[in-house]
Amino acid sequence: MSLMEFDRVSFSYPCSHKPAVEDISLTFQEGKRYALIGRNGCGKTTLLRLANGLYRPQTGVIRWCGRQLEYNGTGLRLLRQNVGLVFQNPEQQLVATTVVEDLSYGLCNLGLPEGEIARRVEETLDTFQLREIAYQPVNYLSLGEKKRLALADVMILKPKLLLLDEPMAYLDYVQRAELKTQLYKIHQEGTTIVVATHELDFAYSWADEIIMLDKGRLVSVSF
Amino acid sequence: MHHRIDALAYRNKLKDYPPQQKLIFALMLFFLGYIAPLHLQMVITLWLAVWIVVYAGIPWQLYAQLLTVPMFFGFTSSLALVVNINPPSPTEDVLMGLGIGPLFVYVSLQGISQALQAIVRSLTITSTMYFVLLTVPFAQLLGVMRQWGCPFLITELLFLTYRFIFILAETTTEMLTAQRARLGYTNWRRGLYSLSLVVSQLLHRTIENYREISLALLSRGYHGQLEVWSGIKRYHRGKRYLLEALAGYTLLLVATVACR
Repeated sequence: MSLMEFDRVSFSYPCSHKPAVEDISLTFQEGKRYALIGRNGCGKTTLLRLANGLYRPQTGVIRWCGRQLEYNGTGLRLLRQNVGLVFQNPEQQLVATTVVEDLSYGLCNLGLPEGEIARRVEETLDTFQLREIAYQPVNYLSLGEKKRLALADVMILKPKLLLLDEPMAYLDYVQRAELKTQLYKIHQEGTTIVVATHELDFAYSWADEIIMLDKGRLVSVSF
Repeated sequence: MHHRIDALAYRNKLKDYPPQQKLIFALMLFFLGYIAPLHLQMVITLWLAVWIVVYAGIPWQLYAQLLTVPMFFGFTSSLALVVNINPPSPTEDVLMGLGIGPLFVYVSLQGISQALQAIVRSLTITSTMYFVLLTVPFAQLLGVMRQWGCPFLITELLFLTYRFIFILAETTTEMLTAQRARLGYTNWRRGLYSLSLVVSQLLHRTIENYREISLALLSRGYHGQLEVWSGIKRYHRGKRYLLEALAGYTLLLVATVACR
């Protein structure tokens, strides 16, 4: 089943004469693992942000589960409940003062009852090995811990489609191995994953499909 | 300095005691410090020093350094109270003086007494503030403010300001280090130029950071209010500090009333 579909999507940033992504058509099928590769500035981040509804395409259409995206409060809320985006720099994603508060932020936005928030936070603390730092301020976490928390922040919402922007950036080899294991686990639990990465070894060994971008255009999709 | 104070607030020995109790204790001492006579204000200041240095384990050097701030302001602003300029006239309010032409510059006895009161009071009241700053972690403080019904706008502003202070401080440190590595501060002229670059870049990067954080908030479902759940943190249930605070406060209150 097709989860998300890009149909001839183009997007340019204001004050830029060149489109960041141009005439992109592709489909993310449910249950698959995708790796988005390409040089810096080729449009990987823009594509992920378009998929999360943060940017609105100037031309073309994006569909979620067969329905065209609606860029209003309800439509975006529904989309972001199902499509989680992990930013490249965790500093910009972590907004609360402690780990527990940061985990609960998205759940509070969904308006879930306190009992359910507590249950999911407790569960996620264990799943992502954050129990020991639960009440620590996010400012004092190591980069590896911040990255883990950023992923947990998104996974706590139980998205169907997980988008990760350069998840391996700044991580050492042990942390990379841990992240890979985590991604395998998340995928096994039924989440579709799209990873924008420069790590070609990882992309080719992990992904079901490799999507290559160049200068904002889709160059190839290989299996 | 800010980072150090914040880090100590998260590591001090009183961090696991209920923040509500610590805040009420500090607030009550604040009001008492305002009305108590001079010698009791000194006792309160000393007692708070014991709480901060001995019980909370804050390094005394840092605490002494922090106390120099209100003392500096106290001494510089009390000069106007202590030194008077008048035409020479018989007065008993002179500790020492000097005639300069038609004027008589002198140190006023009453002025010294007023200055002493002002300095000690500001020291006492600032000590209560330092007690909160050094023993209550910011996240707990914010939690209590929310619990006590503080307007959402204020807690949200505090929340974001706190987050941004760290991001800005980190960005500044990184830029300064990078400039030093490239000999940016070899002389006064280059130093000033480098500093101007940091300031302009900081503004640019702040705007950039703001934009990214806004996107991250939207991506996580932000709808106009920064709501979070603070968890169920279990605080220390020991009564030893609570009893000392209650007993000490009662004694100070009784002494204040008796002195009046």
